Amino acid sequence: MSTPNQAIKDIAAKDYQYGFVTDIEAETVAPGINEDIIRLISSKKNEPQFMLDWRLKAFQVWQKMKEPNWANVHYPKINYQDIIYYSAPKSMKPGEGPKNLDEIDPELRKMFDKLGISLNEQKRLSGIAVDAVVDSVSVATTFKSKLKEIGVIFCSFSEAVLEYPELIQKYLGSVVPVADNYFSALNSAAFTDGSFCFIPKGVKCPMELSTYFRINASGTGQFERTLIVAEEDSYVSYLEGCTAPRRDENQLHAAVVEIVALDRAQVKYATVQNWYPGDKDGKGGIYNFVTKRGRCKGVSSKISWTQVETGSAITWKYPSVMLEGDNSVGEFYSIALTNHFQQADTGTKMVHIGKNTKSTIISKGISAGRGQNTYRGLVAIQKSAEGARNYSQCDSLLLGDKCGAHTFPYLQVKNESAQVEHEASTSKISEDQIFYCKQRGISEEDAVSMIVNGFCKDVLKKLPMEFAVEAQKLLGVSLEGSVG
Amino acid sequence: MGKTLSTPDWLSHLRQDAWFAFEKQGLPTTRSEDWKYTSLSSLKEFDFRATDAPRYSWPDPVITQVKSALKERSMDGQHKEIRLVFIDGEYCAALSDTVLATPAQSGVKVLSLGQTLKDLPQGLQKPLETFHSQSEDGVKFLNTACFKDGAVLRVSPNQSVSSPIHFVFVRTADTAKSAYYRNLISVEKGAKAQVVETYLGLDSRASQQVTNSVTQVSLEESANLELIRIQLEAPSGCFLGDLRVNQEKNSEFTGHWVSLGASLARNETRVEFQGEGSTASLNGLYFGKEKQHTDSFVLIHHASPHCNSHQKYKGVLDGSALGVFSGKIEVALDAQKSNATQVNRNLLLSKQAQAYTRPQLQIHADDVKCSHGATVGQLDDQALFYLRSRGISKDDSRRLLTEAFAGEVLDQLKNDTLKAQIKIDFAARLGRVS
Repeated sequence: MSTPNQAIKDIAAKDYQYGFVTDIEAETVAPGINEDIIRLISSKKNEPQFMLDWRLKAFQVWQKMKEPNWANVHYPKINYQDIIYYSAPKSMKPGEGPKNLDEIDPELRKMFDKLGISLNEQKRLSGIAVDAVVDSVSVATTFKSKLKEIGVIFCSFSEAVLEYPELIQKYLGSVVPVADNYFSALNSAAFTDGSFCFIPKGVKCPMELSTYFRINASGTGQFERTLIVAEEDSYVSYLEGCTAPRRDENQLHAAVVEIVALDRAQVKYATVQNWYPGDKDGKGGIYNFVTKRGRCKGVSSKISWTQVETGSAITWKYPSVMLEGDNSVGEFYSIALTNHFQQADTGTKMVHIGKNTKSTIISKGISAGRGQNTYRGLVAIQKSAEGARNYSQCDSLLLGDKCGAHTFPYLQVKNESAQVEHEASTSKISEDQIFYCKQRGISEEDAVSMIVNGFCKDVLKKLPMEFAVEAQKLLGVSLEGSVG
Repeated sequence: MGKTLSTPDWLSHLRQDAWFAFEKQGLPTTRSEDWKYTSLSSLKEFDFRATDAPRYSWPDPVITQVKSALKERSMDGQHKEIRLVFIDGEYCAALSDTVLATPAQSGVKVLSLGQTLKDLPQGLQKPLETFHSQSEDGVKFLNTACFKDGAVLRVSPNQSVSSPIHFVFVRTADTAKSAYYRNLISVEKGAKAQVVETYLGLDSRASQQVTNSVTQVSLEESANLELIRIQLEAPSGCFLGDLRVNQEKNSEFTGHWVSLGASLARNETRVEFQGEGSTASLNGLYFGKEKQHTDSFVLIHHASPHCNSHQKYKGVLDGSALGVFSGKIEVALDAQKSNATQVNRNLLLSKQAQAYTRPQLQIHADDVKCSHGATVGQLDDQALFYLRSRGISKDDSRRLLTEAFAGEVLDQLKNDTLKAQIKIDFAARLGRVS
């Protein structure tokens, strides 16, 4: 009798389809990090003095810090002096870069076409504005002028530093302080680009904003920074996608994302993370060590994180929300899939500070092959958080007998009026479920992918439609060959 | 260290090793993940080494006081209890029964550890050395280095002991600061027993006292044990408990942990399934008021397939008490068909009370059913309204609901005498609920 395992095996064997390398002439600096490299990065970007000072200070902080080791992930020690901290396509040389979208290096354009992301506004059907980041720099931002008409600022981080220094100075590091953790300090010292987004008072951003990250050069690390500021009564939905070529080396991606939501503002942030996960023997792949945090500063503000984590050799991140404003809401919806030798230690932190704050956590972990999947989350109800409410649910699905699923929730309640609930379950696809499907003429492989999709439905329905379809496909693809 | 025991060479070495390990590591700090929420910094100045000269008799007023307490806590009912009494770290023969395979209780040996070391030392070395090699932190090293006495229970194959076996550990107003106990329980193939450990503080004004008690349980094939640990230390007391259970094939363990006293109480429970088809059910009730701090730490290791574990822990926290629960279920790579549940519920009765909970799952096998749930909340307004609308006063309603909340755990106790006693203890400690 064939078992569900056979079908799972077949599904898990499919290849990573974004593993190609584009031959682009790149300008890179020598590997290693020191004050000179930081000065070099800063001067390449013509940054004002305050930015350089900030970086140097962060570097000093970072040097004093120790790499953390508490996560449930294992990897050989990273030599931070072997990493190249700046690499940019030659055509993007500062000051000589393309003046408009038509001037973009055709090779770059081809690369993005191949990834299914059109940098050509006219041809685009869906209204999504994209900031495309390759290695260390942003190469294009679409729909920029159209957005500007309604007051929305959406541009690369480097551009924002030059054009809106007062906003950057006000908000940079206000959510994730430099010394927050080892990787945020390193990022603060060495970040090269990223996206900046500002939604003014009362504006509902009419289209989805999106950043697409691509690592192309070898030997480099990607350190980007995203800052989203939503003023009073504004709304924005933000998407992030990422891919990298197939390589035997491990590359480090240490990003920082900061979100600020003022009174009654709403920010939705969705990630479909598909960095190269390494091959089926666990060779290569991206180390995705990311700090993401949102601050619900204003009353009745809302920040919602949705993530679909299917890539990366190691994922280590906890998108968090600081619920400061009264009645503010934090949400976290996550699907994390680990196959082959992938490891994920991911979850969230919900810190309730304001009154009547609410948070919801739905996490779905799927482990296949020899994948190790960990949910780690903190729900902290501070003394001031009268009437706070949290609901957490973490489910794990195990496909195969060599993988692992782990759940480490932390609940800290310091206010008696709070209501905190956590539940979790771990299970596998039962023979009954497969039998039921097969009896109705559904192949085993389809049955497994149906069940996996059903398992993830709570999270998938939170994604914007285009992404949901992509994420669903991704889940199928990532599982191929894993079943067993 | 432990001079009251007749000490074989291997034990002296073991104690020395443990003491060096303690001196090297010191007490665990909150930097250690397992002690994240429980700080022992209040014991920083505590002189753990201070040991008192052995004493074999106590002044009459002490004996009288202990006697009346024992009477109150006696579990004599259908069957008379078999009792061992320890006072401030030492064995009190005058108040204890010893059962050394007498005809009436053939196959049951209940002795103090000191006596066992003298008369029947075989079989002690292995469990004591194993414990030392598996010790995680300074608290356990201290116990190995310093334990003065404890209880030993051996039940021979296929014996079913109908009398409850009661170990009573009393703290008096004596100057002895610390009491270290090591208890060893082994239930052999197919045998069955019920053990109660009562930790009792008699002097409510005593200065800081530490009780450090380790119980090692080994259950052979198809053995069955119910173990109840009741902590009623004095308000200034500090209780550090450790329970380790090794279960072989088809064995069944039921554990209860009731924590009502002490200013700082921590109980660790570790269960290891070494054979298929075993079951462990753990229940816990912790209560805190004023500045009490209680910590329940549970680790269940499913090392073999086809085992079941169930945990149900409830906390009631009043005043500015802090309740901590850390429970971890580990399922090993080939422990298929494991079934594990874990529930932790906390009831906060006051504004300053706090609850920290960490229910954790670590699963390496796929064919398992594991779930956990944790809640922190307050009394249900609707239930309160229901009672009040029927003419029950606010205080009484709150008390009724709180007792019902705790009752869900206490009702699992099989011994009715004990159940009634603990319910009274709980109600007394709870005091006025408003």
